[in-house]
Amino acid sequence: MSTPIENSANVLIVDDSLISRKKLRSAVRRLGYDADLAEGGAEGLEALAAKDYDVVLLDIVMPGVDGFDVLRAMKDDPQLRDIPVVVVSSLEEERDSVVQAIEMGAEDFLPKDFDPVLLRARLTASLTKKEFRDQEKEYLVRVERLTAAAEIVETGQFKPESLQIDDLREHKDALGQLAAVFTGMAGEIYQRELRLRKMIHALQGIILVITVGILWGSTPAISRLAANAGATPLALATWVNLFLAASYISIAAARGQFKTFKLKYIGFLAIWTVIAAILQRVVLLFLAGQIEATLLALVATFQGFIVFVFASVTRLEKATPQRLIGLTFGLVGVFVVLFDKLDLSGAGSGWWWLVLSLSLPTLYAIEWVFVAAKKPADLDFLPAIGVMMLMSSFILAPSAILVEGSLFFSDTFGRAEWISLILCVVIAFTMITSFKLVDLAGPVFASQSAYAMTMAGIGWGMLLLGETLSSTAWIAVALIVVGLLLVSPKPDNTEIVIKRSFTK
Amino acid sequence: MVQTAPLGSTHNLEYIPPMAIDQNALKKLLDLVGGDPEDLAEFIEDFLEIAPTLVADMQAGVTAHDWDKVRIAAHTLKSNAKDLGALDLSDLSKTLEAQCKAGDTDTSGALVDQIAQQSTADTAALAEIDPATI
Repeated sequence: MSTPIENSANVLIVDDSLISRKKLRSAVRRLGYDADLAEGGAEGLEALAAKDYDVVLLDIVMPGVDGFDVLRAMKDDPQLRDIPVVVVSSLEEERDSVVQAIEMGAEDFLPKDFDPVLLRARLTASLTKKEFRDQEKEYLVRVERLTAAAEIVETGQFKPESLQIDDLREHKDALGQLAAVFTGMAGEIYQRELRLRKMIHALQGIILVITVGILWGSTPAISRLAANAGATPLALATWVNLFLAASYISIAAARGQFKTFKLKYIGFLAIWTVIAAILQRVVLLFLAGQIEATLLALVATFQGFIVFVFASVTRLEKATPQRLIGLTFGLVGVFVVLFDKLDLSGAGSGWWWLVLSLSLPTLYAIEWVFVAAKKPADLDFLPAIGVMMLMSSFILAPSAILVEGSLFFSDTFGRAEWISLILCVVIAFTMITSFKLVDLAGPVFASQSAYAMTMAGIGWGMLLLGETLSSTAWIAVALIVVGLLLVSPKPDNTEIVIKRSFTK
Repeated sequence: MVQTAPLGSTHNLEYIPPMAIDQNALKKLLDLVGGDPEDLAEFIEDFLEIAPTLVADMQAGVTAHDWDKVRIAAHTLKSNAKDLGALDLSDLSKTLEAQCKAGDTDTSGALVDQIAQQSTADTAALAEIDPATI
């Protein structure tokens, strides 16, 4: 008689005879296995559904659900079909039943008056097959997961963590090695694309920042030219806004962008109107008539800091020391130029106007943060700016007539009118570019256009107004570029799409 | 082996069941379950309870002409009786199972009566056995 051994396997005994069940249980337990009993086919299937078994000892002749029924149900069930079944039967009397059971998928048979050695052999053989099959299934599952991960990579739209195959690398077999290599390569591809995308993103941002800066930088100079030619601030603001309204609404209507326009946006547009189209415009045009364009350009640089503070307080964007240092670089760059150019050493109206004009960058900052935080996602810029400008025109026009006596600068379309028209076109183009920039790079990075604006303002001042520029401007340009790189655009959260197929 | 009356002669002769229990079968069962006489005693108790139930099932099956029921009861009693050393009872049950399977049930009623007597005799004999002496 063999002695009990340490094994780990769950054996289910299905037999309608109490004595046969108990006899099998004793013998199975003496071999070191766990054994559960089921007194019929139905109870056997219930037990199989409730617990994982490694092998089933199955009687064939039973009332109700017999052994064949159990075997059929197990083979039809993907969860049960791989559990080995040993039919307990008398071969000499039930040869046909045994043959039929084996044809149906039973692993082996055991005589009713079995010998413990034979039972051990049957169970060991069945459990070994089960173990191999389990390993095979586990391997297949790993292959399927790896294939699924490859399919995700093939779509070109993935993040390394979305592949969910990190655990596959832990296996010390060929498939584990393949998973490790695959994961590593997928991660490298992702990082490479990420770097490339960041570079493109930063370049797009820098180009837009410079474009916006150059365009915005020209407006104080053009505004001052208009003012010198006789244009009055409120009337000029009204015409600029009407021009913007007419252009944007026409283009938006032609593009069908008003289809998604909803009345609930009016509240957002009304606030924007007050900030951007009325306060900003009036302050700019008022200041432009009083102080030099270069001075206006100087104060505009504070916009970057104000935006940074607003965006940090409202947690719209991440406030990092690196960004603060970047902003400081930009500011220092501008000061290098301006202190070289301006004489602010004495007390007087220069300082007073400088402080007063700080309201302008503050308004710019408020606008950019407000638009970045509150603009409805499905509201396009073109119809939004168009409607906003139209609303502002209706408020500014009566104000211009009331304060300045007329909406017109003169009786004929002369120098003031031409300069105003150029200003309208420049502002129209600049505004749409600015909001694209905020959309792409975030308000903090976009606020860097203030530096470019300052440099451009000085340049335009030289070109249009005959002002002079120091040779130290190049140092300033270098400082501003470093500042731009340090601030860097807001992170791009969209999933990376790799436009490349590995199978075609 | 105790002499058993021929199956075909049950109409004419009174059947006297043999009461001997095969000690080797009991010893084999005892070895199989680990050699503990208490376990063997439990098997004997189970048999003393089950055998009359199975005989009753056979009788009910005969009355109702439910030969499938008779066959399954005979199948179970056949193997249980063999495990407990009641070899004659096992053989009679085996014959009954074969008759039911073949549809040859003309004499099955009389055979069930014979099984009932044999079962009574064997259970009585088993009840007298002391498992510790096996």
